[in-house]
Amino acid sequence: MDKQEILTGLKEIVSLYTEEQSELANINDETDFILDLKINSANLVDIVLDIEEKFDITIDDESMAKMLNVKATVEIIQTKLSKDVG
Amino acid sequence: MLKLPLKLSKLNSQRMLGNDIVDLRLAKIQSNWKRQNYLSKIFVPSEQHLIYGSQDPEIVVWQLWSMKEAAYKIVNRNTGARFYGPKEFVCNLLPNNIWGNGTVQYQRETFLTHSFLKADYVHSLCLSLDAHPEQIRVIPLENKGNYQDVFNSGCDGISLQKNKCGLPEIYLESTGIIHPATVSHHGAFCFVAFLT
Repeated sequence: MDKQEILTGLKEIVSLYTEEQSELANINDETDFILDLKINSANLVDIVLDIEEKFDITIDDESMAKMLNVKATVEIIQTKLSKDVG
Repeated sequence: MLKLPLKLSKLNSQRMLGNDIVDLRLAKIQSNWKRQNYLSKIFVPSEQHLIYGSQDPEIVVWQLWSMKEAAYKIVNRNTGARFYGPKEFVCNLLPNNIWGNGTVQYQRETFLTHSFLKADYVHSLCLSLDAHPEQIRVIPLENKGNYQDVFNSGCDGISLQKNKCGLPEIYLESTGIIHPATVSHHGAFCFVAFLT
């Protein structure tokens, strides 16, 4: 799965928890879930659970701690996917 | 031997306050805490035990969550670090305590918390141990639009501003003193709190 596919999947997930449509339309590496997309912090755990289900991976606590923006989240998904393949 | 780091961490910290509000009606719409794995991602086993052992698990979910968030605000302000690590903040509920009805442990630091459990919201205040509950002032606001504008249009002699880092602070005209402030808003509610 390439980065673009991961980003598309991630965008589908976060769209469920944000009302910031213009930020969502312009989603990029720097987009911050809380500061830009105004996602409620209690919903970040839903995003983590949705990612686990969609990509069939397990997000550990240490990884979850970094998942505040698109760049970190995509990198974590990429790393977990490559480990599962290996 | 164990006491040394505790003393050191206390010396390094300053009087701090954090707060967090959960609008229970909105939380019902936004969050399904009964979702599989939801609780285990954010609560350690002892906290899950408190939730499942309660007559009203939903209230305890939001009480513990708001305690963690309020403590995170202190740590974030002290260190500048941003992270999503709810399980690093371990909550305990205390029976029959005069002010603090809970504690939050983060690494070697302990914070005292008080949660107001109302029919339509849960509001938690979290205090560093060197501060005193009597020093806390809490100002409720309507949560509409920009809270800074709402606050400043409704209060005389006191204004809410942001520092260079964008963090809220209160300026008291009578004393000319600036106090770090903590602001939380969710759904219909907004609370500004600071230490005098």
